[in-house]
Amino acid sequence: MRRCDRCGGEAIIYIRAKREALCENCLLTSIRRRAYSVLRRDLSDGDFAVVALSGGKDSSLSLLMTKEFIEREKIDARIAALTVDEGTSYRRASIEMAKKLTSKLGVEHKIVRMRDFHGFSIEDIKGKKLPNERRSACTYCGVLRRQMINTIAREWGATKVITGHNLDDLVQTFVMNLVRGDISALSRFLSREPPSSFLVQRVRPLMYIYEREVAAYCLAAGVPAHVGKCPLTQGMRIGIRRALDEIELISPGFKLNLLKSAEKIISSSRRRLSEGIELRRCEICGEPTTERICKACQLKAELVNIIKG
Amino acid sequence: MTIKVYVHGELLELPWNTTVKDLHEMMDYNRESYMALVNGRPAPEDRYLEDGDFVKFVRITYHFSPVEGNYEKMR
Repeated sequence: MRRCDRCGGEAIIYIRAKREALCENCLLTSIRRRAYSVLRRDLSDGDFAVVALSGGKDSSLSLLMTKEFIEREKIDARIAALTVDEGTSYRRASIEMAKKLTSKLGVEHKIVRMRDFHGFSIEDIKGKKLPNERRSACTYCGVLRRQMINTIAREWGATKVITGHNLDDLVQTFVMNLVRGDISALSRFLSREPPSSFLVQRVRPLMYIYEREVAAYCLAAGVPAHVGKCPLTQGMRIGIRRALDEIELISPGFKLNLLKSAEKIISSSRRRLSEGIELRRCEICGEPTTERICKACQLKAELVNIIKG
Repeated sequence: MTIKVYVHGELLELPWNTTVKDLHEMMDYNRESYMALVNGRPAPEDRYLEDGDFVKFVRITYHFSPVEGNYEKMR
């Protein structure tokens, strides 16, 4: 048995960048320290925090950390969870996990079906030829889910949306924006001030925590979380992930260093990056967008055509 | 000297100084995308395997697709 380098208990993970093995308790202490540093900065008295809960390991741990933080630090904030059911068979299992966790924690939980919100579900496009070769099912699902979360949370009165994005997710997003040359997205990357009052500020408690750490803790502690993969997953993120994983294995700590560098570079040049980018209201749905018609409405129109066709 | 370890139910005979990391490499499971459970618990990659251990690899990432060829297409 490998011993924890801090307390001598049974180690469950080896942190390559720090060259130390940690047990479940020491890993939790380490995760808690990093998650609390984000929550301390972004959550305060009077906030209504809505956790975007898919039922997967990341959002489940994010909910646990936020709930625990509010109680331990005696923050006068309200917390609730929101689950978007995009209608895939894979989602059914994770929704059960989300229900189990919120009921165990006594957290108010709202489940909204994409079919009720947008008039169709992601399952409807399964097996259909997508109209744009450059777009995968994940693009449609991601954009439409993000819009749902923001709109529902805002109408619910939320002041913060808590997400389960971990360090790996954020580094992938940053590199994807670079690869696409999407300056508008880069200018908004990790921005703490939403550019419009229609966008609810996002808080990412797991932003400095590796996906491996989240998985190891959830598996060891038995956090009710669904582990699986979406049957429709595809797209650019997969290739980017593989490439970043290879670099991380060669140079441990690379992902964290990249995220911290991106944060520093972008925050010091955010104004310059966002020059000429104007936020207006979508002519169809009224949600904030940089174009005449927002991305969600553009994609929705494409999907309606495929589903009808 | 060798040890006998069960990997996904199959009995394998391995050198006595095999680590979890070695097994990842032998089985071609990427250490960032998969986690090894030894006797049902997550195990650090520098842990030496012991005689009679039960090992299972679990995929920890959502964005790992059965759709092949995306990487080549992207490049």
